[in-house]
Amino acid sequence: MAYEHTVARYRNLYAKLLRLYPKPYCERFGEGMEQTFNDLLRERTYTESGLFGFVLWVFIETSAGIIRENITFIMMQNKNIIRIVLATAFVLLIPLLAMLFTDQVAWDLADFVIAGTLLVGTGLTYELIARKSGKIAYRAAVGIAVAAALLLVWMNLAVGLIGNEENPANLMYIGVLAVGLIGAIIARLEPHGMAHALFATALAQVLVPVIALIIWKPPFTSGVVAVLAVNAFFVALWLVSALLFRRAARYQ
Amino acid sequence: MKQVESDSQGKVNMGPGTLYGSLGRMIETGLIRESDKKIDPEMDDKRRVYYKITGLGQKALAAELERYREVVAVAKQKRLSPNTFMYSYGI
Repeated sequence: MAYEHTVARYRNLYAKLLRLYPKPYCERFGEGMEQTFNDLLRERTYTESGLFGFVLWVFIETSAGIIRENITFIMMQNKNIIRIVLATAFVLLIPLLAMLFTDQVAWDLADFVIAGTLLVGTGLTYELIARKSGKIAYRAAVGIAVAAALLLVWMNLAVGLIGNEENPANLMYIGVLAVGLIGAIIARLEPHGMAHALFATALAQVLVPVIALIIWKPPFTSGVVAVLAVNAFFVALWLVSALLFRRAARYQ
Repeated sequence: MKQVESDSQGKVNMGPGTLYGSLGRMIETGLIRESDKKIDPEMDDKRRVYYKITGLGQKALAAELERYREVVAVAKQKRLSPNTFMYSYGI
């Protein structure tokens, strides 16, 4: 009986040890490693040979693996941050070079600062959220949601989705992003909750042009059709992200 | 892990930490991938994950084995093999 308690305690301790691996690694291999340890423990129990020594060796060996994987993970994170900054600098080179050849592009320092901040912020947001899970569906969902948010902000700042960029109706898009952000916080970035948050964001996106039509009652011109089409594009992006989060939740 | 221990005649002992770390790195670099093919359906367990070497993995393996062969050939040429060393020093 005491022997069985000891074996159960080793299993629990090993399961706890595995949680020290970086989260994506733990999600991918944690279950397999735990099962492998349990199988090896069972074999040792049957042969009754040097259980404590074996367990100690496995714990030390796994701890070395944990240190190695965490160092690799941290180095990868820093590498990703450097990549984000370099990618931002490369993108900002485009308008900078364009200004040398044409007057059509006229960015001042504030434009570069805002654009740079948006791009770096988007990249870091993706890194921060996507590391929550190693699953491709989850990371793709985060990528699409973050890219859609960037595009929404960028387009509104540049030209405005409804009318021009100074049209107060465009301020409603802050509400769309707020719905997504609050939903993500409530969901604690878990895929099931994130799916709901993105569905709610899509609904908020639909409501913006509807509310604008009700309040400002513009004539039904091609401009209105264009606004509806652009909003439909963003709704599609939020829905695709939501469906990917739902898929990630299903396979969790 | 048992196969590695057996193939190396007990010289290489691998635990779950080393095994899965190696698997992770090989998957990251595209040398292996998960496979749907079950080796023995009677041994099958839905928790069991099968891996298969990729084309890139085959090439990397062939290149690595070729590198070992070249190193051994150079060692033999320069008479650096352990048996030659022992003979030269009368051991």
